[in-house]
Amino acid sequence: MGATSQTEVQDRVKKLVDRIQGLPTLPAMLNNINKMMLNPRTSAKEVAQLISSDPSITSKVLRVVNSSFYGFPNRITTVTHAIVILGFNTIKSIVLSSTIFDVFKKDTRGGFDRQQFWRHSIGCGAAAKVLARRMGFPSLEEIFIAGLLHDVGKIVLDQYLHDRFVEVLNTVRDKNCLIVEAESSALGVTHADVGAWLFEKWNLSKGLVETTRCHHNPALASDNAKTAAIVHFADILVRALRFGNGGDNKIPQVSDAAWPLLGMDVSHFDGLIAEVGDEIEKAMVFLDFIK
Amino acid sequence: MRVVRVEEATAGARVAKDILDLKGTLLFRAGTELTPAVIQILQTRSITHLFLEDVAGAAPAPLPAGMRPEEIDGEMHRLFADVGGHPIMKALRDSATRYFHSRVK
Repeated sequence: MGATSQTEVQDRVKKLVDRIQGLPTLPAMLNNINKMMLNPRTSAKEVAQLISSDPSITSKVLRVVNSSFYGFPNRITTVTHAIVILGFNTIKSIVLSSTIFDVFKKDTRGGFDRQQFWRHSIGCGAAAKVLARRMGFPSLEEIFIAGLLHDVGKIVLDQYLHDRFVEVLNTVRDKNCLIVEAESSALGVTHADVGAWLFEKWNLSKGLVETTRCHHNPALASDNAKTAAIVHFADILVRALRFGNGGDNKIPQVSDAAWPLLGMDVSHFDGLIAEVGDEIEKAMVFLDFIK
Repeated sequence: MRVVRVEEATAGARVAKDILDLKGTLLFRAGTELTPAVIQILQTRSITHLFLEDVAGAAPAPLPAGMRPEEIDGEMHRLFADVGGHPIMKALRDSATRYFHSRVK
């Protein structure tokens, strides 16, 4: 699809997703949190009250904030306390990932290993966080979520266009190619396009939309090239560490456009890989979201 | 193709490479479907690891503890087969391989 314009890709995505019936809407909890956070007068107590109205989300938020992923020495026992210590954006990110895991956790048809998929996604989020920290990136939370959700388009395809997606997986197995290549030739679009379309439809941030769309080709990113480059390389790192699986058994080559944006030297790799391994272990608390 | 420890192998999977015992005698050919009886024979013949065919969407098994360094090297070369000529990717493969070596020591 090298010469395909973005408009053509959008048309193809639209044609493909028009066939999808019953795609979930963004859970009301998240919509309400988004609205509250747009109001500068919203207090931590008000957001906490909203979150606390859902016992399942409350317990997930408290489990994550008390995990080694955040590493606070003292136990956080209330959502209000969590918001005060970690801030609105962090709590929103936890709720966002929890609700999206919830929306897509059903795996009734088989063929695509969701457990391994989410492990790959969590691993990618953790690797992206490490890269961002090393680069002095301002928002580690945002980048973790971008890594965590970068492949959600695969789940959409698996859940709503299952037969076509099984064809893609069969092509991956028969040709031993990358899943993104098989999707491109079988569907004319990729999971990256579909994921970006969904996030756009759900009014999630432009940064998340563009990063998702461009994680296989960061050269296409305009305003979020650095974030796309981080997630692109995080995906490669987590594959190199053989952590989880996103549907193929190959490793893509680092993009020439992404590499200079990372400001890295190959002599950093030993330390980087060890750090990513440690961060992945801490991030495993997010696997609780799919239980 | 993925490497698994024999005790983690499950019936129904297919063997991806011929399985030889320590004396080089062929026990099972590539393509053999694992059954409980086959797995038991592998265990009694002191086979510790085997190569299995991938299934669609299946994860490569995490590199098992106790895997020999040359087996790790082989797995990493296979994973990077298409991109190992790229200098950055080669450096990444070598670092990841060192990481796995240090983990199985």
